[in-house]
Amino acid sequence: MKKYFQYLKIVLVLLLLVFVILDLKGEDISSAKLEDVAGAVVKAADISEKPAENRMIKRFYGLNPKDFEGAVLYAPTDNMDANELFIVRLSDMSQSQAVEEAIEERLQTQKKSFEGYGAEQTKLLNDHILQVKGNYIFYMVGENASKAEKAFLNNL
Amino acid sequence: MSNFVKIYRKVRNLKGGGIPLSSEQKRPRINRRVMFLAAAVIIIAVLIFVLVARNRKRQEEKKLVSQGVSYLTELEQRDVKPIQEDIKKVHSTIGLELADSDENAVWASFTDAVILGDSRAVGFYYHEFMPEERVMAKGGGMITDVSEYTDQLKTLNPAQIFLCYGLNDIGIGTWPEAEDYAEEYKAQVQLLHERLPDSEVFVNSVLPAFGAGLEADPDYPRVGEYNDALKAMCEEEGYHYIDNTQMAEDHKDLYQEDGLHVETEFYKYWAANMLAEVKE
Repeated sequence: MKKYFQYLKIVLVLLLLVFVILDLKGEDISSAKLEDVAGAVVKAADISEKPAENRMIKRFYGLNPKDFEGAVLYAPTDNMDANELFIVRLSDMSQSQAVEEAIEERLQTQKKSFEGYGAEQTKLLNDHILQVKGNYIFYMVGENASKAEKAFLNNL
Repeated sequence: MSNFVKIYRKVRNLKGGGIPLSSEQKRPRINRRVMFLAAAVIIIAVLIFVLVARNRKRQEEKKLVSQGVSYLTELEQRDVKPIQEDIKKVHSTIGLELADSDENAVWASFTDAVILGDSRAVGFYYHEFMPEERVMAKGGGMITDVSEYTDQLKTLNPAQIFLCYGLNDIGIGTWPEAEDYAEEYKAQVQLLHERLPDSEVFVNSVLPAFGAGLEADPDYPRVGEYNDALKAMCEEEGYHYIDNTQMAEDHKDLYQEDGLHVETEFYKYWAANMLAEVKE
């Protein structure tokens, strides 16, 4: 009987350890700086434009960049362009859902505006990448989206 | 006179060589007569010359006057239309210069206007030149969309309504004949006049396609044909017609690579061109 209890204790401790580790992993809080992450992503995506002004984040996503630790947007140049890159570093995990919803809505608006006449743009929008990694959210529409996503993940 | 004769005689004697008195007595008279004659001839010659010159001048003036008269008669008989078009062009040039010299003045003139159109017109709000509620445009927009916007238009009750359609209408193939398209356009303008009697409607010519744009659709090279039909329809009905072809040609460097859409910097010239027609 004593042996079983010993085993049980070890197993329970192990389980506890496993849970703790898994729990911590699930948080995925990155201490990386937004500038560093964004810089690497922009390089991988081969973006040459300057980032958009903060009010464009409000205009396109209805989000206030000041609510977050940081947010950077590379916006489309005009109404025929679908290329877009948006990276947010949350200041609180509770913001995650709101940001995701805002991005989804932006995607739908864009899809609607190109519906029926912008075949190329529609394809790019369908191939978008939205990646939520703890306190970092990555959204990109563009040919280099997967390259950019890799750079994003590697720099967190 | 006798003094003169005395002096003269003395001078002649000084010169040495006597001269018979008779000839001396004769010469002064002869010389006086000669001089008198000479003077008379000269005076007559001068008079003749002056008369001739004056006459010539008069003839020339007459000629100029008759030239002037024939020019005026010719002008009177000339058709007013091409002159009006020239005036329009000058106004347009002056108006377009405003785009460069005072862009804000251009946009300020649009505060009571609404633009309806296709993806080219979207730029007016996309680039934040005008508020989104005053630009009822969308990608793929067609002239038949107009009826969708009448309620919104009624709320705004704008002084001017600018229509910017054509590219999709031409491409979609619903109106293979330009005249049929013009008829449809006319019906839409009539609808606007009915529902919004206080608003002035302006018809924009279809912006041409350039370069790669000409190949995007087999009918895009026919934009000119459609514009001719629209222009004729507007003239017939007395609608305002804004001809954008020259302005687009002048700023074709501001077209996008696709040869169909235009860059941010193009819009002010387009707006200025539209304004020139408002002031007509």
